Amino acid sequence: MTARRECVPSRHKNNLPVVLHVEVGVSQDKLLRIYYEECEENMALLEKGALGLEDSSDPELLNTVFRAVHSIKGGAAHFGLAEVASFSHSLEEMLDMMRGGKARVPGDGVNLILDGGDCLRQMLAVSRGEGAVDTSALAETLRRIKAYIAAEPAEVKTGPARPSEALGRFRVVYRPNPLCIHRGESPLEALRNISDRFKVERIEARCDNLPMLARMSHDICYIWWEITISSDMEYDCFQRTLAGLVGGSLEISALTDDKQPHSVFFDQPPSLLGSILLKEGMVSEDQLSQAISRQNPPVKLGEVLVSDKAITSSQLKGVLDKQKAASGNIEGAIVRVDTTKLDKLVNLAGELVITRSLFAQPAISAGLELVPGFSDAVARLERHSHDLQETALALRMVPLGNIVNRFPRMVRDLATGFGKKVSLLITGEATELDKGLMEKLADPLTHLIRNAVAHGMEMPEERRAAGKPDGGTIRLRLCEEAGSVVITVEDDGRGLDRDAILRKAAESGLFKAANKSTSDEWAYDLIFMPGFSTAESVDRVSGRGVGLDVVKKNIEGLGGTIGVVSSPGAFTRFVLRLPLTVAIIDGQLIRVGDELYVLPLTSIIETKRPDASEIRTVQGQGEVMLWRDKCVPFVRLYSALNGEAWETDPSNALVIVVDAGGRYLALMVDELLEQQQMVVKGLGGTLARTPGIAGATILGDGKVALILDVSTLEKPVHLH
Amino acid sequence: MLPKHKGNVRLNFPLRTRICKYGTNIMILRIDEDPSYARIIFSGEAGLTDAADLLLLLKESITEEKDLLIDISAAASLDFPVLQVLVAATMNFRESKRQIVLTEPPAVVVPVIALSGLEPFLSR
Repeated sequence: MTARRECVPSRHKNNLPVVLHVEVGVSQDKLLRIYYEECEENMALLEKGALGLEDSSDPELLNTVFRAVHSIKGGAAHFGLAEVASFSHSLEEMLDMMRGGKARVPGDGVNLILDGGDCLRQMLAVSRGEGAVDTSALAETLRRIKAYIAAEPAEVKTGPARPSEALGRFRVVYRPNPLCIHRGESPLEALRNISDRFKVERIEARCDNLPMLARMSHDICYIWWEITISSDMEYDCFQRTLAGLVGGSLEISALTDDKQPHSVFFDQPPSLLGSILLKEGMVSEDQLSQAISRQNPPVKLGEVLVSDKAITSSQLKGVLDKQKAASGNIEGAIVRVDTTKLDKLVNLAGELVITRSLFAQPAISAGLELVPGFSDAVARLERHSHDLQETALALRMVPLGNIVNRFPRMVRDLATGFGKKVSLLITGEATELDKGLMEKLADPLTHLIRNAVAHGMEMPEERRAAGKPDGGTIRLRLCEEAGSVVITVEDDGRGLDRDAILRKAAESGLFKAANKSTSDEWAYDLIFMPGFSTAESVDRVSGRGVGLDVVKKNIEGLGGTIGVVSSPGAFTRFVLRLPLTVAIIDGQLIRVGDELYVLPLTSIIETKRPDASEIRTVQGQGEVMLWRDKCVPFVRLYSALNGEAWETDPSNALVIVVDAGGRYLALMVDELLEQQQMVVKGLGGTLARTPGIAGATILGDGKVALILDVSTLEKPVHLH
Repeated sequence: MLPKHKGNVRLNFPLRTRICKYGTNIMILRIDEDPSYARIIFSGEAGLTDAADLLLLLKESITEEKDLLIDISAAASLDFPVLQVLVAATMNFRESKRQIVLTEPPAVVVPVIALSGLEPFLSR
């Protein structure tokens, strides 16, 4: 909430007080929204870390889960979400006990973490005014957490004992994440955690990063600390425990009796000079440790290393630049922006491209290009508007990891419910996709993965009998290929049963009869027909025949395609192709009769003028064109679009061969015009789902052209 | 010239003092007879919003060549962001040869651990 407050900032020259109205204060609503977004990220980390603990004893996984819960708790306390703060505190306490004790958390422990996460998610949703809390499940989970805490022996909190009785000493440089205040975390709490957990010999706050007041921001953390700690923990255990207690950057040196550090550890992404040098392989740990031990302010570490000839001055300059990039500008590195603002920016950038064309074409027609400098100015305008458009679109791109991170938990729970053993391998999570597309992709992907677990994967005994391992694997691969995002969902289960599909389809009246020449590809495509299901019974995830047809419609609605290939007894693979963005396309302008249309450039394989001999008629099923040793459906666009053509003889017209979602189509057109970037405008209303039409665009001269959707333009001939 | 600070300054307002509530937990006292210094009093639990208020106040309002007295003795608690702004203010004022005085905080207000190393900035 932004408050208007009165203050007396200065005096008027006649010495009367001047009361100003100043807009001050941080919008609590905005901060709360950011907090909820970060909670989503933290919940994903919690689940990922907890699931990882089932197969790994890496203590860092537990630290990750702990930090996620700790962040949720900190923010909840800050925003007055008392119940969330209280519950996450209990969960955090349990995690702390797990962390201080066993490296490997028992299966029940993982279940408890996940159940606790579910409760937290529900409570956060309720605090946003959505959903409801299952109070009995919450009470039961809280009871189990408290029972776990009560049952855990107290001594595990101190961690593994050192072989020697003598206390170890560590020098810790703690630099909180500069954005920690913004996230509602307090470095003081981290320091309290440290002092509660360890014996702190000395602590000193360092203020050398504090800027002048004029450049200071109230929610950036500038202060850092040097701490000397005594502990009976081994070095590795100490650094893991400490890393779990605090976020930000840690530099830990174990001090020997002569107070010389003998080892250095960097836990967090490097922003310190030493950590960057180590990461770049420019210095060894020994060299760095020796330099740190001899570093005596105001002499800086880099200067010591240069004087040691461990690095050169130019290397130091390069590393300092990297350090500046890594930490110096964090203040402005990340900004969260409302998506509606981004949409508006993308739209405006698109309009600018159109305006540029509207301006340039008449100007050139009027001979203005002869005016000195005009052509240069137009070219510059074109380049800048194009760059602006690209930049605006890039702002909307988000990693697919944001949606696929939820799937491991879903697969685990579903597989457990079915008594199956299934693991999910995800690759390419960093692949980016337009945010609008990604939000609509979540449901179709969820459906495919549920299907893979429920139908694709066999029971362990069935797999054993087939000579397969008990546990099956679902592979989710994400990558970018030629302007499209390709998503593959593949399971190594029983594969699709071609005969059963054909039989069920015939029984359901989806088609009349198959014969031996019916291709596998065509048979498998039947599973995307509305009402199709081979499941014998209806269960909680499948069997109602509503699903894959909706998946296909959704994917096609996003301008994408979906296909399936399978090998009986071996695998089923769904391949989804989606455009990177739906807002702007590179288009080929074509003419059919007097009408102009746009084809997405990415779908065009080849353009040619065919010989009459290449066009054949398949009796009762339409025309095909012989192309690259294949028969591809031949579509007369004027006919498909109910228009008129200048030319009806294919040998006098032009043909564009397009890739329509893994199938090829030969489209007959009258003329190929220019290629240009086009801003896609939705048709809206009842026109939105017109087959063959993806939308419309405004051309440079202000005319409107329809954008063709080749995937729904014409079904292949053999499906007629 | 700053008066010697004794006890709770709020009990000893000079005459013709203008008091202005600034934000939730900050009050500014300006004394007409002596415009050479301003006094900022904290009350309640001073958190992130107060840090923003204080910083804005220091950036935009206290721009004259005034010394500053910041009274944190009555604050119920001071969160880290406020503490950080106070430290920065102290450093900045010293560089510009202006005086800034912070009252000694009650022990419960600021954890001792957070003050270690900050004493030079926070002591009277």
